[in-house]
Amino acid sequence: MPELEATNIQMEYERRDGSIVRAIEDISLAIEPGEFVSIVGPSGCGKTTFLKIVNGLLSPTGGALQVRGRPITQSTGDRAMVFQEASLFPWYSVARNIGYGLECQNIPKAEIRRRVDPFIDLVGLSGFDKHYPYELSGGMQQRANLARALVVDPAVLLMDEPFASLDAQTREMMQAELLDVWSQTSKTVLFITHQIGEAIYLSDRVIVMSARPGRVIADIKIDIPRPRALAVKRTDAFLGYEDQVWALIESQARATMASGQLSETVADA
Amino acid sequence: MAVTSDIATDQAVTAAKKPGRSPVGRWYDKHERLVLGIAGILLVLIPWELVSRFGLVKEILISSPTSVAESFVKEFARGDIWRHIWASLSVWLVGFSVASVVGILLGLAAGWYRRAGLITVPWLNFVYAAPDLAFVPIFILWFGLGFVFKVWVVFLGVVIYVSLNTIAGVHATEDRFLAVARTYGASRLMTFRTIVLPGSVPYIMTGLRLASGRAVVGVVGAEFISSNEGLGFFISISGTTFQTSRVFVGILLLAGTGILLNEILGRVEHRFDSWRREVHG
Repeated sequence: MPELEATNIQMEYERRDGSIVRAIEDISLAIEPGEFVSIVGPSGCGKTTFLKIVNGLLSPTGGALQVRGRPITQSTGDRAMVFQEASLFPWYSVARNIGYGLECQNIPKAEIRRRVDPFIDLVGLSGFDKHYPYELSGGMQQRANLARALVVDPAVLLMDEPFASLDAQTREMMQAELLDVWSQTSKTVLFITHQIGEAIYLSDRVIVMSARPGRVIADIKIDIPRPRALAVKRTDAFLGYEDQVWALIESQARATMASGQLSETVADA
Repeated sequence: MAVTSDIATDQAVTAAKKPGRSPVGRWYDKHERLVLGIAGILLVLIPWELVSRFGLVKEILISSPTSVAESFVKEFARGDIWRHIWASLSVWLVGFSVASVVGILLGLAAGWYRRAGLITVPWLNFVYAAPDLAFVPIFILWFGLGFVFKVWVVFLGVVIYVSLNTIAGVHATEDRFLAVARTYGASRLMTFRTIVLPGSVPYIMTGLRLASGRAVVGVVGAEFISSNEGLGFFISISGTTFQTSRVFVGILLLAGTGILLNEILGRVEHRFDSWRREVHG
């Protein structure tokens, strides 16, 4: 049974002037337990919208979602999101931020502490538990962000361009660290990015989406053995995948520009 | 204020590193802020004293720094000034503290519950736009002369400032934090307690600090208009009886109070948002 199954997800919204915008035409995909799946697509293709739907932050206008065969409608503990921006609460310490999901479940403080500690170590933030977010670098903030999601032990870990705001070097390091953490926790991951190399490096499968309205145009299995060192990005196999995905996205991006939809896509980004 | 002082210290630091300065020059570089600050004060006080001494302007109109100092010492020696200070302070304290609590609660409710906000905000804006002292005749009519009507003047001004700032704080709650709360299934109460409230604290503190000044204006203004005690009364009665030095003593005390209040509330503010990058620089 797939860990997460989306069937014919559709999303439309109404603009102020009453006109209907189709953000997602049709997305169906199934993710097996322990699988790492990335979605890439031109900006504005609705990939973040799709992630929000999976997370329960938005309700789709059509289609169905199932986690472990059970239909889901709203946010619950079985999916946890790692956000794109610095979304740690600046008024709480790192430890309290990481334990936030457990705090929401009314778990006693001592118990939270006990469950948070190993994840602080796992993401390499030992000794920073009492620090405030502003005292951490961007990379460290995203590690805390990841730990916060892992602590609630979700069935599916959702990641919305978590490394987008990091500099190139930190980003590469974080990718490697994420794979390391993932291999230790064996979580099912749905990862959104606009960086093709990042998607290929991290994933078992890369889903390529069309320009808006979004639909799946390719589902590519990445046959690169694990564990993957960062050097794998310079192998022929890797570059081949990159060319393949890039060609698909380029054609979509051109189609978008040609039809003059750029103004709409910006609004969605 | 913090910004300018930072710039000033920065300049002092870079200046101090200049090579080839004499010891006096280096001492000046290190204490430039203090030296120029004192110079600025003397630049006013000395001509004032001279103009008064040589009778260029009648002393009864402008007094002089030395007579103000004399008067200051005399007032405190007589002890009567304490009665006025206490009268003003007690009005300020009662009005400010009650209004702070009411203002914060009102602001949180009006910010958090959309409909409560739609109902109350027009009223808050209305009272905000009107000077507090315009309400004095009505308050005297309702509560009579004395302590209570003055407290009401203070209360009104503080409640408005604090509640409007609190509402702004609640409304400034960032969507990205609310999204976090929702994905982790936080209850509404939890969302309020862990996100809306801590996020509003800086706004509330700013409101309190601004309101403390408006409260001083309220106290003094109410005492000007109708009172037989308090610093406002002290200044007003001194002025009408041509005791100019005493007027300046009153002004000094009020300015001192203002600086002190700002300092205290600034410290409380700093304590409450130790998590803010801006504060720590």
